[in-house]
Amino acid sequence: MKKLLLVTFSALLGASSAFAADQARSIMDKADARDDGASMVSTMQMTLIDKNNKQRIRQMRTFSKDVDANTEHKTIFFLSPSDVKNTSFLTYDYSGDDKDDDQWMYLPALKKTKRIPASDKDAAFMGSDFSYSDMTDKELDDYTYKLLGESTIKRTQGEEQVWKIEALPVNQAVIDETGYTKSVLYVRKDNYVLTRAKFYLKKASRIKYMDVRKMEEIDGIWVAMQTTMTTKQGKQTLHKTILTNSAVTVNTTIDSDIFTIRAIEKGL
Amino acid sequence: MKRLMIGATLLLSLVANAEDGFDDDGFDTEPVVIAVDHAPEAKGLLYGSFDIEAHYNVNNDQDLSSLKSLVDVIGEYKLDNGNKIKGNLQGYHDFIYDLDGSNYIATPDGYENEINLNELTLEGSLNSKLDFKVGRQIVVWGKSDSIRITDVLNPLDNRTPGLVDIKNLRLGRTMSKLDYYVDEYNFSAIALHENRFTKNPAQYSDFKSTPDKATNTPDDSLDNSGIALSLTGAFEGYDMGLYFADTYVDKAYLKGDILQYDNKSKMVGFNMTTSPRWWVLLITK
Repeated sequence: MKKLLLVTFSALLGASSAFAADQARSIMDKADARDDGASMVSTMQMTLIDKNNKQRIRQMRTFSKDVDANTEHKTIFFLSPSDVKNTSFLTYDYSGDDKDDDQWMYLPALKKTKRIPASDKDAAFMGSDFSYSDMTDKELDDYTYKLLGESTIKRTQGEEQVWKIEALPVNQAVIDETGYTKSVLYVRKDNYVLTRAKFYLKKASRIKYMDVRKMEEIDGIWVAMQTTMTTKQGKQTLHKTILTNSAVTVNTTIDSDIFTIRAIEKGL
Repeated sequence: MKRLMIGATLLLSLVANAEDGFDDDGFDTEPVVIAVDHAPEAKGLLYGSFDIEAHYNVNNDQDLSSLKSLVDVIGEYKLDNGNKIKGNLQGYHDFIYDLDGSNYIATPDGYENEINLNELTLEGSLNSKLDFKVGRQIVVWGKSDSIRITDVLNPLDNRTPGLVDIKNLRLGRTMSKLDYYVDEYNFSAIALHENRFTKNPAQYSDFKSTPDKATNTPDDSLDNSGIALSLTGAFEGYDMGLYFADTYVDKAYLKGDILQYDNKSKMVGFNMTTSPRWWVLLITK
């Protein structure tokens, strides 16, 4: 009887886990399919804060455009300060197949455009807490998902009801490319926007905390207006990056020429 | 059975709560107050840096071997027709030669002060596919990282030898450059007007003890102009380029007691950058 009970118990547990995984994947599918606009232009401020609270501020102009269902092009031009001015970044973000994303960085001090190899995509983007890999969308099939539960995030603007979903990379290659061994994702129930995430770094038992502090609906598209990414070791904050968006326009016409190496080398 | 279901639910919730740091999510909750600055949109801009740089040599008993104040000024101006004028002026003074305690018996030629107009260009587009850039400029010929096999157009400031891919390493050279773009391809044609050569260590510096020799360099006449051509492309997963140049070799040979720079050479180079490795092939004549 005891044995039978144990078998039934294990079967129920297994069924519950499978249900949790299916439900988590279904939520992630919806989050991925969410309309994020066919194009976007914004001015972005990157604030870098070190553990001594010393701040550095960088201004950027960003452009992104969906080329087709599986390809998005993005360009970032650094406007200031002078030590990064004219640095620019180009991404061809491919989804839906095994192709690696293409990324190039133009370095004006060297007069050189450098392709970012896949092996470097877990490196910090311009000294921030975001990596090159964070600048592209994640492949859904690169992870297995588990619904961990539901929660409420209290914001000054109100409460957000979220699902907490664990995402585990399917293989070592995904870990090597992103630098994350595990992620916990917080997806809003009302609009399927990823509002928070915890990224477990493969090195030095550090965790990066991404938090969308401000979100606005612009022409029907939910846009993250302020996002923090904080790198912590235990409870100690090592470094923090705050991205603040302004002058955002969505679904505007953008000339494709701006998403070329020619454009990032010439600058705005 | 109902009790079993409750047990399973409890266990699931325990598994969830066992998630590392889940009870205390670790997210900061204090408000983020950030003043957003907007970079002024100006037609012209002048910016740069002032640095103090000190070198200490552990090998030749010179102790402090350099104490430089460096100025690096960059100017940009956008004309009404969209063309841009850009310039970069660099200069330094090395205070080591002013110090009484300096161990240097003489000042190496050109080491105490320098002003270098490293770049001054006019650039723009002739049409949607054709760009031009004229003036003293830096053109990286080949895209290999860390090594410079095909990168032969610009001379270097090699007075501190062995440095690769650092700011201010390459010295500008007067050229006229045309770029034609079609799809993923870029065809470049360059006329090399100026014959400028690498600055190597001079006598009495840390890296040279033997006397400097006189040099004979070709002038910048039309007959001595060089040319360079390239076809490059950026594709899914890789970049590649084919390079050609016909210019004076940036290495002197000794004839009598004079270093001669009149050796012209043709080079053909190929490079391919793919993730995670790159290839470079160079053929010179």
